[in-house]
Amino acid sequence: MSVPFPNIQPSSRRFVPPRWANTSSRSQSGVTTKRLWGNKPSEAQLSLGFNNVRDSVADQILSSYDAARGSIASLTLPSLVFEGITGSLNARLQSALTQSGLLWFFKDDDPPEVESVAPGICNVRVNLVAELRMD
Amino acid sequence: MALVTGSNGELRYNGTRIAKCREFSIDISRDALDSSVLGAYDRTFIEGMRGATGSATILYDEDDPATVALINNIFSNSREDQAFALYLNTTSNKALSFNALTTQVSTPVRVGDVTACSVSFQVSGPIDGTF
Repeated sequence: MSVPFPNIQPSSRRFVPPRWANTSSRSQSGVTTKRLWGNKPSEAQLSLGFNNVRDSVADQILSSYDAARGSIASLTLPSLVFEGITGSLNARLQSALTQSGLLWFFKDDDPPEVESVAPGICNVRVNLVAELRMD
Repeated sequence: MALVTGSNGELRYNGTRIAKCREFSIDISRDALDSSVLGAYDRTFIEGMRGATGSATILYDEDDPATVALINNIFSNSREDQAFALYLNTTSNKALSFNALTTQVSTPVRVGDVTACSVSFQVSGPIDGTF
């Protein structure tokens, strides 16, 4: 089951690409050996900031969090989340979205933060993670 | 056309008219909160909170209790807001009323000149009334 993330354009965005799972070991002589596990990277990070938005926008995001039961259900991110990214970076991010088996979730133990700044106005910060997971 | 002049104006402090007020002013502003989003090339803003400051120039008259009380409020440690009313037109009772705290008093004293005190204040809370 996938829960739609609200169709809201963010004010700020921070993306960390997925990591390739590997382990490394170092011999007594100082030689490092790395071993790659699997053929797909995982755990991309996406931090979204929504600055000076109306409280109704924060409510939409929190409703999405409740519908996903936190980090349980995957999210369907709208293309608006990546608005403003152009060229090859856009293609890279889109591939991170569509790469087989990679699904977006609210980050575990990191629910959305709502900071009220004025009557009816707040800042919202959302942290998402893309995992290789059976949905 | 109902223009008003300084002769229509009046400053009141805690409900009492300040006898010799030469001028008063108030600046009311509102925060513009940046609500710009990624992908846009033009900034957007949303209304934030309002704030206001003001000032008045008062001729120092030690026989006028209201004038003395207003000027000496700068020395008060009570941390209580005081009631101000700026009358734009006393005939039509057009006034802006608010609570404020005195933030600055300056008193230049010159030979051959009437001693006047400049009082600055910070509005605290809403302003009742309109222009």
